[in-house]
Amino acid sequence: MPETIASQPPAEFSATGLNFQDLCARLQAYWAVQGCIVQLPYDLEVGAGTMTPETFLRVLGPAPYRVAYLQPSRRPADGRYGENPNRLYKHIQLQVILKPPPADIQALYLQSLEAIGIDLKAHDIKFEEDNWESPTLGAWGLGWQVLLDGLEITQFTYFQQCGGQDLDPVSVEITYGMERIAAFLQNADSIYDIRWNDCWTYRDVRLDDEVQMSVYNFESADVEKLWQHFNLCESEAQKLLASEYPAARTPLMGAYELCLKCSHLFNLLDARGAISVTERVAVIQRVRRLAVACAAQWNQLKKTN
Amino acid sequence: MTQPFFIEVGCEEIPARFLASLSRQFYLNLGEELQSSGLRNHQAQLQTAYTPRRLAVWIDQILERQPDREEEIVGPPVKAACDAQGSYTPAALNFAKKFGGAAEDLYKVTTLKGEYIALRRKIAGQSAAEILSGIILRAWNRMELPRSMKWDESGFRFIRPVRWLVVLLGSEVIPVRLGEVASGRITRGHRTLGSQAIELQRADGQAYCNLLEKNFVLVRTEARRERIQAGLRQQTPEIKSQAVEDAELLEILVNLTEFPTVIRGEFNRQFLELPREVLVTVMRNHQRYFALQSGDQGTLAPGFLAVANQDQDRDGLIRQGHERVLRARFNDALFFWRHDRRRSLADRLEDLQHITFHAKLGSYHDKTQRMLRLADPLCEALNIAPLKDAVRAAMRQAKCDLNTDLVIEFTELQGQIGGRIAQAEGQDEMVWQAIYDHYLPLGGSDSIPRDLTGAAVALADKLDTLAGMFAIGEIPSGSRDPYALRRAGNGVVRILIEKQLSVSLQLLQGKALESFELNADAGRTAEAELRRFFSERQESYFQAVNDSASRDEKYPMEEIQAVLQALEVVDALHAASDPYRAWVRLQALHQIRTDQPVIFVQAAEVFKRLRNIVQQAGGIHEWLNQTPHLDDVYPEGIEKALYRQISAITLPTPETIQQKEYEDYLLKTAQCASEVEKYFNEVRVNDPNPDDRKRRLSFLAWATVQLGRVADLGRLSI
Repeated sequence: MPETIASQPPAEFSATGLNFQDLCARLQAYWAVQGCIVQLPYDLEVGAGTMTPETFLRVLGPAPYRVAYLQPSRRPADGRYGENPNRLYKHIQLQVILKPPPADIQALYLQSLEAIGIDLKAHDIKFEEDNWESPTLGAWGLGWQVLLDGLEITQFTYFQQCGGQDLDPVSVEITYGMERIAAFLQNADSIYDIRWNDCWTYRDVRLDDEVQMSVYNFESADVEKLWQHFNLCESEAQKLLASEYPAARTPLMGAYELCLKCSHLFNLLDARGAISVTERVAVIQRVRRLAVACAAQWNQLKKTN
Repeated sequence: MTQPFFIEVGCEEIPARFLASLSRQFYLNLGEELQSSGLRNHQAQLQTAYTPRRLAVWIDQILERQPDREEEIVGPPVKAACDAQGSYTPAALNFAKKFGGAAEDLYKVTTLKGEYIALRRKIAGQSAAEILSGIILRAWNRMELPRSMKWDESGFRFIRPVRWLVVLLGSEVIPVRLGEVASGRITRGHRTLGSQAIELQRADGQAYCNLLEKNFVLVRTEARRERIQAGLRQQTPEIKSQAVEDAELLEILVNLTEFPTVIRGEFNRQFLELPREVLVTVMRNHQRYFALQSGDQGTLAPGFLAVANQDQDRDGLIRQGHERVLRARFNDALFFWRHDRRRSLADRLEDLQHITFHAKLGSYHDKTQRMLRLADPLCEALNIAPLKDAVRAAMRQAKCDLNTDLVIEFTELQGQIGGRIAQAEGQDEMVWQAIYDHYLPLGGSDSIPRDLTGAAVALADKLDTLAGMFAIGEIPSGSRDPYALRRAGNGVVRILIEKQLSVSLQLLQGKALESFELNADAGRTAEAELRRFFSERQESYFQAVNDSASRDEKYPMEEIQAVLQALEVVDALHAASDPYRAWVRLQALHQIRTDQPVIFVQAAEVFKRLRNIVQQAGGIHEWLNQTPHLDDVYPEGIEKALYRQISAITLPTPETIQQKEYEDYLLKTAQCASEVEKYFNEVRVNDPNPDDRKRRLSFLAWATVQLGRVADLGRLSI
């Protein structure tokens, strides 16, 4: 890393701390024991685990649900060509949804940290206010960022509203930042030094991806075509949402996936600097309208089923 | 008989910024409810303590039972309750029976509605154990919450989930429910260090504090504050390094921890290459660390003090962790800083074409060009022509930091980053400081630009924003002010007054509006709206001064109004749109009215006599300038004498605005009293001769304006 000041040479393969894939496996296993479905990552580009149907749609309506899944999260504007040791275009979240949340949810969460080898008595844990709001999803919640020795490792949110709908029951969303936790456990100063397993590093696995996608996101993505894609996806989603199907055959997921594509295209356009401040609000509104319509239709379907 | 009472509401972490106020509300509400229920014993003090996870209130004694009391119940009217013989009707007897009385308990009362029968009944006091639940719920429900949430099926709302509840009267648990949580006697210690099931035997606040301390919770805020302060001192034994004083940060940390421990960390000296503002923002705002500075110079030292929610840093892991986080953040910032420095600040001007200021008002490049157009008229109006070059240089670069990586990352440092880059480039001190300061003031208590160059750039920026927004109809109304235009307006007024700059706002706002090329009608509308807006901003400034003044140093509202409505608006000088002059006039008026009330009354009477006659004849505007006001227009005698006396009363020139001169002005106005008396005795204003009448009314209109320049004296009570 050019021009980076480290206190010590990067730990090549320090023996301590879980490697990245074991960390992922441990946390998933922990939440499986708590009764969570362990889902696969959603196979579309999303900016956060919150946007996948496993969260966005499942928190709606009255049916209880518990799910945990890893989710690669793409934020084009956060790319740094692999030059910044702490920032990624695509990072990996572990997303946990508990609906409704049990009364000892904070203790359950802290035990998950113990499960990955963190001695809570030897560290400084704080729950610091951090309320969450997504104008694109018409969603908000109250909660905290969890700080481990000053490092934000988790977002902990009680969802109150999603897709413009009041939630009853509410859900708790726990989002772990996996690279940060791994770097912490392995005492690594750069994400790229994280051991993925015992033979390869995060650098080996992901660096090229970060560089190439930064070039694409910031330089070569064709703005005009992105807008065309956006408009196409939007109009197709609108058509699906307006069409009349028997309840059992409603193509809601099709509409929602198109909405997710719009959201990602918006992020790409944003990274390309193609959206002015005033336009921004209007484009967010367009995505939000789709998300809200999907949420309303989901609720409707659950009522009629 | 009395009993001690104790309540603790256990929560998931309550946000630090609301904690003190929620605790206080709960404590005050409980006190009021205990009082109105009659359980309060005034020998005993209600006490309170809190941490992020609990709100506790206790009192050594409350009455075990409410005192008995009597209540008067009013029944049917006498007309219905008594028959012709005066004996009670069945209606009256039923009323008595219903409330447990007999005929002999009844008596007559006279109310506003007429005569009624009534009776008294005794109400036996209830026991504390019976009514405490209601008292607690009322106190709890009366709290005003910031954004609240639900967390379980009960739908109960609070700022964060309530997880346990202890309510004790003596050694008994009083049953209460907050949502799904039922009261008991089990509290919890520190999340990771203490027991999660601590039994409280009695409603004993002191014992509670001691027991929790053993479980690594300092319930009393003073105890946490003292522990942090002691830690700050202890961790900086060398005389040279000290924690940067920061009371606000201290309170946040007091409200963010249950058992705070100060931990000292270091960072690489190389990071000191970063601007101080960046280092401090990262440490203070992002990481909540105290920055360290070397005692003598106030320069930053390569270290920090973190406050952990732990009893100690056994293995040094906490220090190591905090150091690594800070290193990562500083590395990010250093990367940005070095990247930003690869281009000169001035070189970024063209980039501003791609940053939108407002869709209808163009880019920041356009804004910069508009500010530059204001440079000359502004410097001349402010009488700072020699600074013109520095002002222009600073204006050209003022917005150039907007697309630096550092400002994109630390938006709150806009201006400051640009200033620091210009400084590092070796630019003139006046210039970099002006770039650095030009967003000031950000709020009522914030500082203003340190020198006149910075003041000029700040004024141009704000005036341009205001003129532009008013030109496109974005005018603040009610609570709607999305572009914080009132703040910008307040900034303009504050800078002018506090830098003692006398200038006509109307002139400046006219210049600023020229850039937007409005048609005549739209231009007039925008100008009128701006004038009204600035008048409100001045009033708000005077009120803010009042708010922070002690009671007998406040300016009465009518004086503020009289000064802002001075008749000077009628003539070309427009000094009422000169905030600094208005400020000095207010002080002069207040001084005379307070210290020399007789003089003030004389001046006000002179003014009113002159004005009243013109008003009856159609108003000042009707008669002003109907005749030229020249010495030889007036016939010898009282007319010429009074004209001479009044025209000799002159206003201070812009160079020499002093309160004393405005006071003189009022004194001289008062001194006209005898001549005015004589004038009205000798001269018939409404003379049958139209020429005489015209000359005299025109004179009176002119004189009213002339004497109304300090304040509209007619508005003041005598």
